[in-house]
Amino acid sequence: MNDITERRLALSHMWVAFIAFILACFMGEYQVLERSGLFESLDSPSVYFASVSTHGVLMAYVLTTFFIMGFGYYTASTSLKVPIWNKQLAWGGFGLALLGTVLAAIPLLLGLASVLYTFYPPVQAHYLFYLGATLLIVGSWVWCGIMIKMFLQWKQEHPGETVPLAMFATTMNAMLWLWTSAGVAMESLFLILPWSFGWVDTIDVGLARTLFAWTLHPIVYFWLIPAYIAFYTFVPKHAGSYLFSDELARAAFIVLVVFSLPIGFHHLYMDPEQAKGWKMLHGVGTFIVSIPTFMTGFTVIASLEIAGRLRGGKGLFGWIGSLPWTNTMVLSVILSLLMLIFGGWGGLVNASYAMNAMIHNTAWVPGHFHLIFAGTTVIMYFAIAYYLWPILTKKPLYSNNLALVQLWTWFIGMSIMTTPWHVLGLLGQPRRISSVVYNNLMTLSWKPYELLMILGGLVLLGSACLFIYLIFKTQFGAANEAFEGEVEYAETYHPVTDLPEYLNDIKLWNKVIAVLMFISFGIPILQFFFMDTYDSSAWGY
Amino acid sequence: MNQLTEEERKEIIESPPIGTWSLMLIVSLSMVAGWLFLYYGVFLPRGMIN
Amino acid sequence: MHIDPLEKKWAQIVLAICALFVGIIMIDALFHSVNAPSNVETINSATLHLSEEFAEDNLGVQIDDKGDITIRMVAGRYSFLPKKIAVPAETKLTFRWVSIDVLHGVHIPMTNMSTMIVPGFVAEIETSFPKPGNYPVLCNEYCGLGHDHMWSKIDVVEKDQWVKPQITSKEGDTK
Repeated sequence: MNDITERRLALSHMWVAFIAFILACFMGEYQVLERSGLFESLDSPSVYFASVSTHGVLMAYVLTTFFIMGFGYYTASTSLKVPIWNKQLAWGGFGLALLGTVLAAIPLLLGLASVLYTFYPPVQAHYLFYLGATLLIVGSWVWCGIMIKMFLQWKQEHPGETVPLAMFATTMNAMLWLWTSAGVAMESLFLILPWSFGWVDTIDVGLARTLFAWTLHPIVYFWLIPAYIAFYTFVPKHAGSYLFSDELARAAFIVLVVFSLPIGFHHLYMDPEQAKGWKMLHGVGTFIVSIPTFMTGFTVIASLEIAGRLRGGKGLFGWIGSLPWTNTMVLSVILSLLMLIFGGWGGLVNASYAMNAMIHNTAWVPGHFHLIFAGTTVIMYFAIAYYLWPILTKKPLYSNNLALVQLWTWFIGMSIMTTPWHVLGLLGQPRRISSVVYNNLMTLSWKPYELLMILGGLVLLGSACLFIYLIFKTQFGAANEAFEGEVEYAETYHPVTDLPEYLNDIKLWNKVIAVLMFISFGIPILQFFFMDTYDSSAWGY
Repeated sequence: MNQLTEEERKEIIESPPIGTWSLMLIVSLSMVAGWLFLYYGVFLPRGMIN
Repeated sequence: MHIDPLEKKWAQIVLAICALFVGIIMIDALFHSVNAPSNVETINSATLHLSEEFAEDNLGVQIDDKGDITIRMVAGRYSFLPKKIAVPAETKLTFRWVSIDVLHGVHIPMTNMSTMIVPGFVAEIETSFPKPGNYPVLCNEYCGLGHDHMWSKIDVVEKDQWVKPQITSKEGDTK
């Protein structure tokens, strides 16, 4: 099959993602330097908060959405062995999302949208920011539609057959994103855009926060699932063995998608606009969604254990050492899992209802999400890039050794940066401050951790630059030889027979989600229409 | 690289993953201990909350 | 569906761990009053100065005839008012926070006095401070370019050394 369009789609999306990424990395290092107060000449809240807002939008919305779309298109095509359905539409979605990104970037960079990536009203940004963000989301819905269409079409043409795991997970993720983004889309269409255009004077702040909380948790699973797709469908073969369990992999993706949605109130534990019964319900759901991650750990590590033992590893843990640590996919999953242990544990702490008061809106929170997202998830984005780039460009990876250095330094930098960040949170440092000016002795204890974070950030910045260098050189450098290769998906040792249909289809789970969302969000959202609320007018910053 | 017979390969692939099991037990028990430490050692001593 | 026996055992352990966490949390919530602050009560942030409860001379620490202490605080760019308050240690305190403008968050470091302050709502939280000391009261939600500077002070005094303000409200009086 001539897959030049598929390869172009993948590369275009991923380049937008990684260009956004490297720009945001420079902003990140600037931020940690500015915040430490070491260089007075850097002191500027207006530049800082413009940077944080841009950094957040680029990392949380642009890097992620574009990478996931590009990876998804190529996964759909290679796992189902068909061309992308309606390539023009796919390019149209790409264009719309890119337009949205550029529109949002303009006010962000001009300091006219310093409302952070969460844009909680009633602080108001220039309407172009909200419009751009909305177009980015709508553009991504095109991708969702194409993934689901290709899934359903393949099932129709292959009745009774098992959908390849990589596509099953990708399609579940597309469905997840449609459900997830509905929250912020409603907030945008019904509350924020009319208010920022000046069509209405006031905005219901409690409703806006609740709708954003709908999106805020499942979005991180939207980001995480591609990393898990690599865990299950790439890692085993790279390590030299088999996927330990295909059925449990599917079950994990299903539980992740279904239970990541009705649990957003763990972001509102300290909020006064929702009652504790709902918070408790969402809290229980949050613990449920930790289960598929615990199971994923077992399945993936068991696959690695087999690989290590096949390579001669003996005893209880000898197989760890005998794994092919020089394979970028294998190294990445090992480092990713290490970060998942601590990042996931931090998540359990965050989920723990009243205990959230200990760390809510403290520095612990950005420490946590950098570790779990920038660490666990993004390192797998690197791994996927190192695997796909030679296949997409038909040139060998510029340097496997440098790729290994890049992955190790990402892990080391992330550990050095996020560990003190968590400690600062326990010591009470608030998040979202651009300097420490509290006239209180307690803040002296914060200094050493801030300095460590600068060092961690520097290592990360170097690692990020090396990553860009490697994919750039791979694609545009002069290659000595051509690279001929295709994506190879992991297999199970015993072929999967008798797969129950509920592990092979998305329609049932769509209905389950609808019911759970109605239970978890129905009344909490409707209440705003029956309570007498006092809406807020717009405030600048 | 050691050469395994087909039988040895099969045995490895089909035997229970005791290394994984041990690792997951150690990791999860540490997580529980860490959580209990934070909950009873840091959070609750900071005062009531209702 | 075939599941490896060790993986099945692992699933049971995972369920047990989650049950342990959820169990501790729910028992503490239902029987020991360990809850996230969740009093849903609306108020007009634009007219606080005209309200009885949050008028300027009604802010700060008050004790009623039953001995219950209520602290009414206003959050607004860029401070918490009153800027300095004194409360007794090891005593149940009820804080009631409102915003005059945008979203704020408030946290007294090393304590469980933590809540969002959402315009349009009264954030009520019951807490106590075990350790006496001078604590800063910090805003922890982005509220504008002056967010760094948004803080006030609270003195947590030994119980027997705390000077009670005059009884100015009756029990249950929240207006």
